[in-house]
Amino acid sequence: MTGVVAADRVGLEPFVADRVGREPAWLVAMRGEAAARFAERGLPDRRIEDWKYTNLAALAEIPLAGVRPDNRDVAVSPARALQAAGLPGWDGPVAVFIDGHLAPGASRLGDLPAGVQVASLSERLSDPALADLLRRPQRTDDGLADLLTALATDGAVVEVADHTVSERPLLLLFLSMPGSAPAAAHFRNFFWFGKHSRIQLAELHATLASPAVPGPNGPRSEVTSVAHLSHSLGQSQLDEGAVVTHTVLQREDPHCVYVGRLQAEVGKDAEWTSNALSLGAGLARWDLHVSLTSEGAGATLNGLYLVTDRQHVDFHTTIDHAHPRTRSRELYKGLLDGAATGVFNGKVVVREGAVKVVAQQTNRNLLLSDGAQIHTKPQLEIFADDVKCSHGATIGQLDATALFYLRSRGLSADDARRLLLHAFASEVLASVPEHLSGALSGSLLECLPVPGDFQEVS
Amino acid sequence: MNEASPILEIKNLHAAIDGREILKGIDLCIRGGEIHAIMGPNGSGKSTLAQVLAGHEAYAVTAGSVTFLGQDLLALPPEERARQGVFLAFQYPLEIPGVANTYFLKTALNAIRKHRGLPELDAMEFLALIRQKMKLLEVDPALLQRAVNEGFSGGEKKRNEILQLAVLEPQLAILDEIDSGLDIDALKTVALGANTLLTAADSSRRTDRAMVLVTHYERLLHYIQPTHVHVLYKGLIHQSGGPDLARDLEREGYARFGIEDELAGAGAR
Ligand SMILES: Nc1ncnc2c1ncn2[C@@H]1O[C@H](COP(=O)(O)OP(=O)(O)O)[C@@H](O)[C@H]1O
Ligand SMILES: [Mg+2]
Repeated sequence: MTGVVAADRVGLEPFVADRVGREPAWLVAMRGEAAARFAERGLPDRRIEDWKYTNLAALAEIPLAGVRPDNRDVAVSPARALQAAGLPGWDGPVAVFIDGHLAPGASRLGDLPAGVQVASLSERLSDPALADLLRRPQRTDDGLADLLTALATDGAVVEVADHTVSERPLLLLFLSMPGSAPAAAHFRNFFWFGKHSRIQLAELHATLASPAVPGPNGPRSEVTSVAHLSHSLGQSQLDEGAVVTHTVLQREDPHCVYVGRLQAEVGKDAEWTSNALSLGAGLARWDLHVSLTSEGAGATLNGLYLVTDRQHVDFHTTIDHAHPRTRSRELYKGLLDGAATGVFNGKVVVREGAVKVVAQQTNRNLLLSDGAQIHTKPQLEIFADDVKCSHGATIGQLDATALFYLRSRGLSADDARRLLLHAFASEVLASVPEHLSGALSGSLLECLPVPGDFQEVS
Repeated sequence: MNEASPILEIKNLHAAIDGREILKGIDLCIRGGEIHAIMGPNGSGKSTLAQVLAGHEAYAVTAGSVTFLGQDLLALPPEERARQGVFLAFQYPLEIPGVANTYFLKTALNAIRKHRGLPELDAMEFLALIRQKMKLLEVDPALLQRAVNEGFSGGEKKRNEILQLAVLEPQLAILDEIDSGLDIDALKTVALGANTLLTAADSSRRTDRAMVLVTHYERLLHYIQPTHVHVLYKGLIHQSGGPDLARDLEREGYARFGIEDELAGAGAR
């Protein structure tokens, strides 16, 4: 074993053995292989290039095979779930997953848009199409992928029928409910978008203190004091002509290690827009992988990370232009305060023969304190001619002259700062679906760091 | 002579940036109802003076004092100065992408109103006020919805500064090269905004407000008539006088004052 997991830790085998007879044999076999691979390589560590700046040592506290109990039947009202996710004003349909398990009592599934189905993965394992997807290799091949294959038993399955058009975003809440001892939740989600469907999908990841574990500010607080891992993989498939906006907002509590992976296969003339917003968690690692699998496929990747105190956020994105005339545009922005650190690694691959590809990547960062750090790296691998690829990264500070301009009109230093931070973020927030940003904007504004603002969260 | 009480008194003001002294002992007394033009070639320190008065922290005041309405202006942070009635129209107004002009103006106005003990304006009241000011100053209403100064033409930026002036109604307005890059129509509008600020309902000159006009060119002074003219050169006021001084400058250039300025001729045209 080479990873950070100590050799004496319990392996994954007992967990896998326990699945025998409860799941199709091929799935248990697949888990066994993954468990064996994991025993071999362990968690990725900093000797691996993609993990150079991100240290998973925090996971040492969490027994990785210590999967959290199924809490789907814990009495949580939709209102409480939405409150925990920072969306108290949401009155539309919502599917709530607690540690990856669909919780019908916490959800409002009654008036899902026509043509949209939401189900729980564990109930769909006999579906051959799903089995096929489950067997496909994950785009990021490391020890975490093994963990997920071995341990994830549930998640969301979202199917959007051909030609479905929905104005209203489909909202999924993924709530971590840590118990009294450190534990992990691993789950995987599948999203199918039928031909020429048009839909906005939003995932919110947040922590819900379990009723038995009052937080430091009383029972209503969603800040727990127990280390926990939220580890998910989403696989999206966009059929011909589908136009999808997929927003993921992560605002887990500071004791959370968040690993969020998302891979999308974008078909002919389909358009995938991803908004990835990372606000919470002590450590957040995101891996986004987009395959533009047919001519005319396009992807827009927007990202925003706000970190402070000792938070660490790491975005690894890969856009694979496998076919001619595929397009991608990527804009990631970061605000880093306190002693926070960030990583942005944006890889763009243009394969041989993929002519007339247009790819544009931008990463902008504001360091709000002397202690904050960002490692940003574009990675362009171009094997075709006649392509237009550009990239740019900036690291700066708040513009002192702009601050002065605002203050010279009577705005307090804090208000001026907040306004500039919001302005910086607004370019990314502008692409978040209106229904959602309306419900969120207040709380996103609150999250913008002004001195003293973030103290209570840490 | 003007019996109104002083609005601004500058005494022996020295200011430096990056350890280099730019202002080397400025004395100036501005009373209510007065318009002081500060002229001088590029690099004389005109903008430095303006920025120091507005409270830019990059400039260090190394000696002297500034009294605004009887209190120590230099002790106040920029936002306090603004709330008490100091307004600087920037020579180079900043572009603030992502902040809507209307939001910015409303926030600024309400911060100032709050300080003055007035109720804050709601969206409707603000809109009514801003519409009236925009009409007067011929500001394109579309500029309100755009980000502050982002992609504005030079003239639009200057009009936007004057719109802010008209909305915030300061007691001391400092206009830094408000005329640069303006065509004659824009110049007239800007002058209208400035003159309106100093005009009472009965068309008489208000004595509770005053203005400092920083300019390189004399042309502006045809539209906003100064009561006093000062020539600033190398951080010092070389000469002060009435409106005639500006006319002399236009005719003879700065050379008469022993000042070399390659642009003075251009300014007189
Ligand atoms: N931010 C600054 N940093 C360094 N030098 C400056 C700065 N601002 C002004 N100066 C210097 O101070 C002098 C006066 O400049 P300024 O006040 O802008 O003159 P004016 O407005 O009369 O043209 C110039 O030599 C200029 O280079
Ligand atoms: Mg100047």
